Amino acid sequence: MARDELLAFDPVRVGLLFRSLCRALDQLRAVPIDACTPDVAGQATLSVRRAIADIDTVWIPLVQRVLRADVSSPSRVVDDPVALAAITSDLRDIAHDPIRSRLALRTYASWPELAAQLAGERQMLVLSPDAEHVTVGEVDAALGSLGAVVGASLSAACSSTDALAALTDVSPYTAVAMLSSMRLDSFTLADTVAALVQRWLDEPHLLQVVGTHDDADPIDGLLALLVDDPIACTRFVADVSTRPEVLLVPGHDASLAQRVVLIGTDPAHIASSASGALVLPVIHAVTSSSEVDSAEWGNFLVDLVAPWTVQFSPHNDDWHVDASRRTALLAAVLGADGSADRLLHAGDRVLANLDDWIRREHPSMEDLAAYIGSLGLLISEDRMKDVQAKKSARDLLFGVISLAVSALPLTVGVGLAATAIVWVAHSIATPDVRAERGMVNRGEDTALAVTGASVALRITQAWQKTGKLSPDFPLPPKADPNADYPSLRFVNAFGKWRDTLPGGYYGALADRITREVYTVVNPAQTGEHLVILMHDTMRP
Amino acid sequence: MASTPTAAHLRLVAVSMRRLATRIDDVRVGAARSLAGADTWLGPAAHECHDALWHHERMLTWHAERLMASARELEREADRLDLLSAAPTGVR
Repeated sequence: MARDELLAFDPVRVGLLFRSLCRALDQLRAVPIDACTPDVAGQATLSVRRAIADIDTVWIPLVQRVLRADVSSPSRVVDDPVALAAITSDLRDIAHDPIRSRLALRTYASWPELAAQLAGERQMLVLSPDAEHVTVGEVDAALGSLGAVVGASLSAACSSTDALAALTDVSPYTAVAMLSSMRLDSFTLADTVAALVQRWLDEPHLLQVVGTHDDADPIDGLLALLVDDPIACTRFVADVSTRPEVLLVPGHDASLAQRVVLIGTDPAHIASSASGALVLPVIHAVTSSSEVDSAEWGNFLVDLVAPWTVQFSPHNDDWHVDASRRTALLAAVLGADGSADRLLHAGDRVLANLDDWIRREHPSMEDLAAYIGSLGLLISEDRMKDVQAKKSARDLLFGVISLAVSALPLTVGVGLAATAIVWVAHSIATPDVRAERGMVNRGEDTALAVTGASVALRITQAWQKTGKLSPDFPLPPKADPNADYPSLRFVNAFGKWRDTLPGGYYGALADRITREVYTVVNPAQTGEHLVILMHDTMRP
Repeated sequence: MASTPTAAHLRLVAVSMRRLATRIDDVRVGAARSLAGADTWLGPAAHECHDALWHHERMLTWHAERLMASARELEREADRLDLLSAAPTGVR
């Protein structure tokens, strides 16, 4: 005897089924079942009799009951593993075809009830797993199949409005479970998640319904749907950029929201011109909120700005935002304890950002100097807590200087330009200190050595490229920031290397490179620095 | 050539089997089965109905084919008996 559990049906098609069954029954009754005596015919007529009995007494009555809508509630089904597996299989089959899915949902108007029943069943399972007949996995599979049907029913050009409309009548937990199976495109997924997050935060009572007594918070569940889809992350951050506070609501997994924002604002996924509209509102929201735990969000903010330090520099206009506002926000980020150290950990991202800027826009000497100056101020050694951090700060700044020098055209007198960069940068970074002291410090001595080495390398590589110098000719010495007297060490090593150039000490190549490098750092300076630094060292 | 009484009986039975097979083959349980899928209804009862109709459809098809095969066999046997009866005595 067939059970009457039916979740939904299409009355038109059930009507067609009824007529088809009746026709089959008539045809079966028309079979001359007493005409033959051999065994083979006897077996055939037995099958005919069985088919007649089955269709006549079981299936036609069932179909008649369905047409009278005399069928049972889904509640009896979701607790039955066999029934649940059958439903899951049916839904999965339907989800393969968008047309079938659309027809199914239009017909099965009670599917939100099924979704609610499944969510309720899952809640019961979480509370008392041993008391139920089905497993969480089976319920999740059914919900996933239902989500796949809903997703397939939406057209390829559907909007988040369509998706939201499909999820209006279901609980937050159910919405998350279904959304994960709806196979929406990145934009629609992000828009839908953003709309749901904002709706649930505006109407928190919606979160207090069945299916939420789980270890996963529904909002966290929504955000988790985005992290594997960078395009969706970017779109989501853009969606909430007018209301970034939704990222900061206590009680949810802050690290998840932070991951979504960092992925969404990664330079690999968004153009520099568009990133400001996403990055700046988030910084403002976090730094101006009184509810935010600075320990929880401090490092995130530094990670957020690390790939965009160029766009924060005074002369950059990628974001079309006033420099004072950008500087104020950056200062709010990097003013926190430990922030400079955190930025140093992201040194490669800072350099990648600078490299991209140089390649893309060929910035002027003044732009480079302004950038280096502002960055130097932010990561000045004075702010670093320990020796290792100080070294990291120097390494990052010198990496920035090397990149900047490499961007200079040889025709302008690369040594002179590089020197200008360093001095302009220093004048931006520490004008008062330099004026007061009137003397070199160790950082400046190292900066000059690094810049001189960068100039020598830049010229040598240009010569090798144009054929003035053999490609296998040794490159000039590098500066050693850890040497006792970096500029002295470099100038000595440079002199030895220069003498090996074609034409020797008096040759044209040696003359040209010496003039350029000595514009930055020369023996007279190194002697002066040596005396000053030794004096500093000996001072009690 | 006159058919032997036995051969004639076999041919009658074969005709009867073919008629039965044809009538069974005319039953369109498959049409009902194709309407009993998940596009029409959802739930355990729907599943059971579909599976039952599928079973009947397969059984009826199998019996129809078997009846046809048996009819052919009976007709061949009738032909053989006729040939034997027409042959000179001793050939058998």
